[in-house]
Amino acid sequence: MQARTSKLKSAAEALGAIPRGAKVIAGGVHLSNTPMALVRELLRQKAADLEIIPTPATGLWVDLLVAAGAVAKIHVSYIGLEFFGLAPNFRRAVEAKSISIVETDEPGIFHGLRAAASGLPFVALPPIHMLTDLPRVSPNVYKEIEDPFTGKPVVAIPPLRPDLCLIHVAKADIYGNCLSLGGRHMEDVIAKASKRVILSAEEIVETKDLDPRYTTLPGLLIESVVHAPFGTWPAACPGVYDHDREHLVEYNELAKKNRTGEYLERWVYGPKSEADMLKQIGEARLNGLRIAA
Amino acid sequence: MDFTNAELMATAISKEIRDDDFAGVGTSAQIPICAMRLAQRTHAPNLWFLYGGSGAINSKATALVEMAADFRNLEGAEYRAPISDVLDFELSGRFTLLFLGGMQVDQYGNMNMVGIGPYEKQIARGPGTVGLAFNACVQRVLIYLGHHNPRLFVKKVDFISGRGHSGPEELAKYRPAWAKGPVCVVTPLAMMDFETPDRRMRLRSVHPGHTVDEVQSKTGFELAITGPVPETEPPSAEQLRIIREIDTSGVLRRPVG
Repeated sequence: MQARTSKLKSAAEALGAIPRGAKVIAGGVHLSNTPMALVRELLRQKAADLEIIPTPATGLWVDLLVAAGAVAKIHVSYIGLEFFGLAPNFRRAVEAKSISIVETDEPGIFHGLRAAASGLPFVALPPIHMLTDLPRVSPNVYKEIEDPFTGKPVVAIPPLRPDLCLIHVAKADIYGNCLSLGGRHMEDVIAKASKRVILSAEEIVETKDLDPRYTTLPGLLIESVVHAPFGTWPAACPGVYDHDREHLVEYNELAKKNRTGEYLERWVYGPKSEADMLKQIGEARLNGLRIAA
Repeated sequence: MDFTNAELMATAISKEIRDDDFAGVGTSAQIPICAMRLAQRTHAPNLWFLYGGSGAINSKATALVEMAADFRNLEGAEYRAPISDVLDFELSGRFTLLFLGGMQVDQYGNMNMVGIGPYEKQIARGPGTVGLAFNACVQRVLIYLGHHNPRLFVKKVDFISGRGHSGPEELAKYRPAWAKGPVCVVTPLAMMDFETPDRRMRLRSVHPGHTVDEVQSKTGFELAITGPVPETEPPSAEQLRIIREIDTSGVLRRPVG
């Protein structure tokens, strides 16, 4: 009998060579559950000309990729740093027109991904967007059509199909079955919508230690699994550790002064690996972020 | 009595909440969240509310934290809503009250989160429209703002992310009948509503320590005034006691605005 194939790989092996212009999505909401270890690997590999399809409310990972010059285009619903305010590098790049924008919103992103996940040609929504300026600036996202059943106006949203999807969870087995301790956000939708899904996990566990009733995603949707302790740092990993507020303040201050290059050198390109970077942060500091079990 | 502006705002917002509401709030949520929990412990024990980002419904977290998506907001909650539920609630009109805001708000309650200046030549890029289009499919919208100045309150927004009351023909065509749009605006200075024949913003009350002239001078358009403008009612001793039981870390004791 042949052995079942493990999907466990290093981050570099798992990502492989990212083609220029790849459409990338990452899980998480705001400063929670962002797969930062995988994003840092994208940066170390010098991924370029990426088209970012973010979840409806996020920012840190996008701001970092923009600062590194890795981004050509962003679908924007909400790109910001939540309670810290605007995402400085994103803001500067849009104002300077050095990246292009698809102006969209929460239902535009969510239902675009929903359409791709379910194989739908498009999704029809109540025509609330006709009361905004979105159809004027994004005529290829919001199209007024007639509801064939009632004859009333509806708005059609096209599918969004990312090439690469990055997700972080608390626990995964080597086949990609996994558990997020924060509960499912929209990992199911983004995984089903995307062509390739790379999963990182705080902890690699035995399959028998995952209860299928609570499993966040089945391994059948996952291409590779990466063991990445503190893999959302400096964002929070729900149920495992809090966001690193002090570090985020430092990031935000540098970003506002247009000095994110220094940040990238110190925390992304400088350390030889994620393990090296974690050493640089220090065990005491990291353990201080942990949520008591 | 000794209370802060934030505690006054939480009290004022709580009075806008009904016992049969299902309310939702996104980021910068400490004051509205405190208001909802105050309402649950006073006149609205049957209120349901979503703490956006965290997905918590009826959160009873021991502190008002700055991060809406904070895992700790699930403490004492009764359900954790994934975003697919939140979108369903938003689009189907199940929310009866949403707290929304923006970087510009105009005299008809239109809101902008996309940027300042003409779209093609923005001088300040904002974070994006996110959920503001839902302005048009929720029963009531409460506009909640942490500031009050003429850059925020403009005659006409540079980009409509969320539609208020302008353009009655378009509203009749595209807005579901149950949706009433923005009904109330709360800032660190005053409360406004849209109880005017043409649905322009009206000054409803001014917070203690501020004046009608001051509010008007910090608003970039003429506020409608339809009679004597009362002072916003301050929190009672009982309301203040409950607020401070909810706000264990004292974030509402810090100055705002």
